[in-house]
Amino acid sequence: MNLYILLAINSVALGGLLFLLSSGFSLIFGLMRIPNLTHGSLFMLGAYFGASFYLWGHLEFWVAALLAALLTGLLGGVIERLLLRRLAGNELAQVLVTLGISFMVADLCLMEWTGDPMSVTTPAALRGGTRIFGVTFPIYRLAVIVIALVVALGLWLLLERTRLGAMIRAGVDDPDMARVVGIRVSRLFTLVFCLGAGLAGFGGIVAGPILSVYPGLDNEMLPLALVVVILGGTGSLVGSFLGSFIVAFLYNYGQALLPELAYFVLFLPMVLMLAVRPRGLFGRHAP
Amino acid sequence: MTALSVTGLEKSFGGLRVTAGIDLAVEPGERRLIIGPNGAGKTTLFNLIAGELEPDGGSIALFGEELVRLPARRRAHLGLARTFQIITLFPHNTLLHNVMLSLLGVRRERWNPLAPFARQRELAVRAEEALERVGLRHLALRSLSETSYGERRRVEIAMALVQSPRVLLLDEPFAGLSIDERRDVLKLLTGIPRDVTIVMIEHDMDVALDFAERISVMHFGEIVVEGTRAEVVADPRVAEIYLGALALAEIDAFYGDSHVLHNVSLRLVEGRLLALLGRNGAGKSTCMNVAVGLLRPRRGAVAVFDRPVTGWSPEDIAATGVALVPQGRRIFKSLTVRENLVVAARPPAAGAAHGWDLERVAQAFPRLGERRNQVAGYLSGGEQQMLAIGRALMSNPRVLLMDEPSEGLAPQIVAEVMATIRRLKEEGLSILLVEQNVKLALAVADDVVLLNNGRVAAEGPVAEISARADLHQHLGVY
Amino acid sequence: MSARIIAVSIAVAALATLPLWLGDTYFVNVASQILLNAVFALGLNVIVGYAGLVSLGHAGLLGLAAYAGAILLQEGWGHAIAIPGALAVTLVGTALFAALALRATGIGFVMITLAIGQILWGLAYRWLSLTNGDNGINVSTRPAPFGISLDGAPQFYYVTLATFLLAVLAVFIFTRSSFGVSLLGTRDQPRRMTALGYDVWLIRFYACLFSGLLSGVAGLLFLYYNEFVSPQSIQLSASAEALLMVISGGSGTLLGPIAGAALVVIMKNVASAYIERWNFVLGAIFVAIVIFMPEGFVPGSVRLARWVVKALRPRPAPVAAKGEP
Repeated sequence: MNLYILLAINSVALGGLLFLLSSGFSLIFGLMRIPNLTHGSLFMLGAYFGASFYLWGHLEFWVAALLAALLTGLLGGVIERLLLRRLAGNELAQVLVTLGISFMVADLCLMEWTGDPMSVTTPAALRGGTRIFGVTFPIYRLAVIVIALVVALGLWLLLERTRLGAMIRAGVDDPDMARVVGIRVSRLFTLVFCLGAGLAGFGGIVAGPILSVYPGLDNEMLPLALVVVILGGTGSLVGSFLGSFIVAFLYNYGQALLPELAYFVLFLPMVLMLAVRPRGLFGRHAP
Repeated sequence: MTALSVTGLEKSFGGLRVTAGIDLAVEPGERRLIIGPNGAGKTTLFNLIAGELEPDGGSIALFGEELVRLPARRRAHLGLARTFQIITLFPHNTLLHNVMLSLLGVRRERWNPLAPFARQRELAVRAEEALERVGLRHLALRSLSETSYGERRRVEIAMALVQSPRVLLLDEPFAGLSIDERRDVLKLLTGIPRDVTIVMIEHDMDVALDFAERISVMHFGEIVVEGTRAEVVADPRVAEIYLGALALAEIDAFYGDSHVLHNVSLRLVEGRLLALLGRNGAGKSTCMNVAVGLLRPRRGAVAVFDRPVTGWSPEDIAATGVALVPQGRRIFKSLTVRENLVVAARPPAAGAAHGWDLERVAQAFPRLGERRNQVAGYLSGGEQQMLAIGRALMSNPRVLLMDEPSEGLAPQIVAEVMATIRRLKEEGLSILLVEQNVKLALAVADDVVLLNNGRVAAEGPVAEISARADLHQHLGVY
Repeated sequence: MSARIIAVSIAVAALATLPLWLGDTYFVNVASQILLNAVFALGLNVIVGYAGLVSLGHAGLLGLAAYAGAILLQEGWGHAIAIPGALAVTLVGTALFAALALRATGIGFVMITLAIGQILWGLAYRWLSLTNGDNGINVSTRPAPFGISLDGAPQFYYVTLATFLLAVLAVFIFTRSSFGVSLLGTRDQPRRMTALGYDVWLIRFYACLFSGLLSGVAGLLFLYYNEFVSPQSIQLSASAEALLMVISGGSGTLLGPIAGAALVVIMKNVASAYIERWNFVLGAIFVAIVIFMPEGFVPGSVRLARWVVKALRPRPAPVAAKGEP
C-alpha cells in the first residue's frame, strides 16, 4: 500500500518536472508550429550547468538553478536567431535543424562532463522527509510540486493577463493577421524560444536531485515532452499541465507494473491521440 | 435524368453557414454558369460536389447515383472531372506526362509497379488526342515549367477531358488570362461535345455570359436567382447583390504566375475617402494586400504619406499608421473582445485629435462594450465586424483600409458602420474603402477608382464618376 | 543514353572486382557496410524522396528485421526459416507502422514515426526476456548458400553486392512504373491526384511496404555482417543517420542515397579514427546541409563545381577594342 502512495507522490513530482520541461515545448510548438527536438538536450544542458555551479562553484542551489536557466535561455535565443530564422516558413527544415543541434549539444556535454553520471545532492534545507497522515513524504519532491505550481501560475499570468501574452496567443491563432495588426511576430518567436529553453534548463537542474545528470538524459526526456504535448494539446498551458501528470503516472506505474513494456504504455496513447484527435485534449491546432 | 442534381445541400464551418440548402439541377449537355460575389459559397459548392468537403445535410447525385457517401477519389471514376482555381499541375514533367497521368487515374494500370509508364502506348495516344483538342499537341514533349500561364490552363482542361468525363466542373477557367488567351479558351470550351455537361464558376462576365445557357446566382450560400442570361440580367435582385494619404504607383502584382494587377495607380488624398470599386476578381482585395504589405508587388511603389514603404513587412507598414479591417474580419478567435483590442493598441501620433482607446471604442460600438470579456469566437458576425473595425482603430491609424465592411451585416448595423465611417472621415482619418454595395460606397466617398480585370478603368471625384453613363455597366448593371 | 549505360557498366564491373584490387579485408568490409547501408538508404528514399514524407523511425524497421532474424536463429530455426521469417515480421510491422503514421502528413508524420521508432527501441531495450536488452543478441553463423561459406570478407561482400544490385534494379523499375509515377504525383500534388481518381492513402501505404521490405533486407544484411544486434541500432541517431544519407546525397534520385550512404559510412569510419565524438559531427553536418545545401550534398557540390569551372574558364576576347568608331 505504502509503495503505491509513494509511487503516486513520485508521479506527482515527476509531473511537476515534466511540466517545467513541456510547457516551453508546448509554447514553441503552438507559436512556431515545430516540435523542438533540441528540448531534451537543453534540459540536460541546464542540469549539467546547474550541477556544475552547485557542486563545483559552490553556489546556492537556487542561484545555480537560475543561472543555468539564464544560460540555456540565452543559448535558445542564439539558436533561434542564427539558425531557425534563416529557415522561416520551412517548418520541416527547422525540425531537422533542431535534431542536428540536439546531437551536437549532447556530444558537447559528453566531451565536457564525461560519461560519468553526476549525482546532485539535495539542497540541505529540503532534505529528509515529513510525516503527513502517517506517511513519510520526501520534502524535496513536495518542493518540486510547489515550484511547478508557482511556474504554472506565473506562465498563466503572463499568457492570460499581460499584453505580451495576448500577443503570443494572437500569434498562435493567426500569425499573418497578427503581423498586419502590427505585432512583431518574429520577435515573439525568439522570445518564446528563449523562454522555452530557459524553462527546460531550469527543469533540468531542479530535476537533478531526483534524476541526477547523465548522458542520455536528453533522449529520455524528449520523448516524454513529445507525449505530454501531443496528449495535452499544442500551445495550451492547461493541456501541458494536465498532460504532464497523466504522462508521469503512466510512466511510473508502467515501469512498476509492466517494466518490459513500459515504453509501449507510454507511447501508445500518444500514437492513438495523433491518429484520432491530432489537436490533443486542449490544443489550438493540429501539428 | 439530370446530369447533376444537388438537393438541400448544407455546410457550416463552426457557426458560419456557408451553403444553406442549395438546390441545383443541371440537364445532360447543358452549359451552366454559377456566379455570385466573393464568399457566396461557389467554390465550397464545387468542393462539396467533388468530395473534398463533407456536407452536413442534403444530397448530390451524378446521373442518378448518390455521391455524398462516396470518397472523393471514386468520383472521377464515375465521370466527374474538375479544374482548380489555382493551377496545380506537375511542373517538372512534360505536358504529355501530365495528361497521361490524368488518364492513368481512371485506369487499372495505375497499380502496376513493373511496366514502365513511359511505354504505355495507349495512354500516350489518348493523351496526344486530348492535347490536340486543346491545340497543344505540338508542345507535348515540352516541360510544363516552360509553358505560359494560358497554355497551362489549356493543359488542365486537356487533363480533365482525357478522362472522358460526363460532368466537368470548371473553377474560374479564365482567371489570370489575357484577352487573347480568354478567346482561345472560350473557343476550346465551346468546341466540347454535348456528351460532356459543363458547370462553370466564373467572375469574368463578358466571356462567361456568352458561353452559358443557364445561370445560377449565389449569395450567402443560397441560389437566389436562376434562369437564362436575359432573365438573370433583368432581375433587380441581381443588381442589388452586386451593386454599390495612401498611394499605389504603377503597381504590377502577381499571385504565382497569375498577373493580377496591371499598372495600377491610386492616390488617397489626406482626410478624404476613396472608394475602390469593381466587379469580383477585379483586383480590389489584391490592392489592399499590397497596401498593407501582405503581397509584395513585382513592379511599382507604395507610399504612406509620401514615405516609400514598398517591400516593407506588414508590421513595419502598420507602424507608419496604416490599419486594415480585412475581408472576413479575421479577429483573434481565442482572445476576448478586450484582448483583441488591447493587442493592437498603439498610442496616437503627436498632434492627433483624440486618441482611440478602450473607452472610446466601447462608446462607438456599445455592443462591444457590453461584451468586452466575451471570447471573440462566440460573437455574431456583425459584432465581429465591429470588433475588427475597433481593433483597427485601436492602433490610432492615420490611414484606414476597409475591405467589405458591410458584408454579412444587417441593414441597421450597416447604417451604424457607415455613420462611424463618416465620423472618422470628419475627424481627419484618410480611408480607402472597398465595398460591394456600390450605393453605400458612393454615399460616403469623395473619390472613386474603378478597377476592371486588374486595371484602372476610371477614376475621379464621386460626382463625376456616378454621372458617367458608360460606367454603369462596371458599377453593376449588365 | 548510351553514355549512361557505359558508365553503369564500368561501375558494376568495378564493384564486381573490388576485392581483387582493394586487397585489405578492412576496406572490403567497409565496402560491404556501404552497400548494405545503401540498400537501407534506398528504402528510406522511397518514402522521403518519392513519397515526400520524412520518417524519423526507419531504423526501427531495420532493427525489427535484425531482431526477428536473431531471435529465430537463437530459437534454433535455421537460416532458411529465419530469413523469410524476419522479412515477414518486418512487413507486418511496416503495415502497422504505415497504418498509424499515414494518419498524418508533414510534421505529424515525422512525429508519429519518431514515436514508433522510440517504441521499438524501448521494446528492444526493456523486453529483456525477448531481446536480452542492452546486451543484444549474438548470431554465431552466417548462412551458407549452396554450401559456400560467407565467413570471409570477399564472400560476404559478393552476396551483399548481389543484393544491392537487385535492390537498385527493383527501385529503378519501381520509379519508372505507372505505380511509381503515381507515387511521385502524390508527392507533388496530393489534392489534384485525389480529384483525378487516385487513392492517395493506399498508394502511400504500398510505398511504405516496399520501403519496409528494403529496410528489412538491409536489416538482415546488417545482422549477418555484424553477427550481432543491439538496441543501439534502433536508437534515434540511427534513424537520423539514415535520413542524413538520403538528404546529403539528394533525395528523390537513384544515385543520391547510394552516394549519401558512401559518404556517411566513410566519414563515420574515418572520423572514429580521429575524433571521438561522431554524433557531434553528424549533427553539425545535418545542420549545415539543411541550411546551405537543402537539395543535397551531391547536387549541391555539382552546382558548386559547375560554378568553379565557369569561373576558371578563360574569358573570350573583347569583340571591339575601345575607341573604334
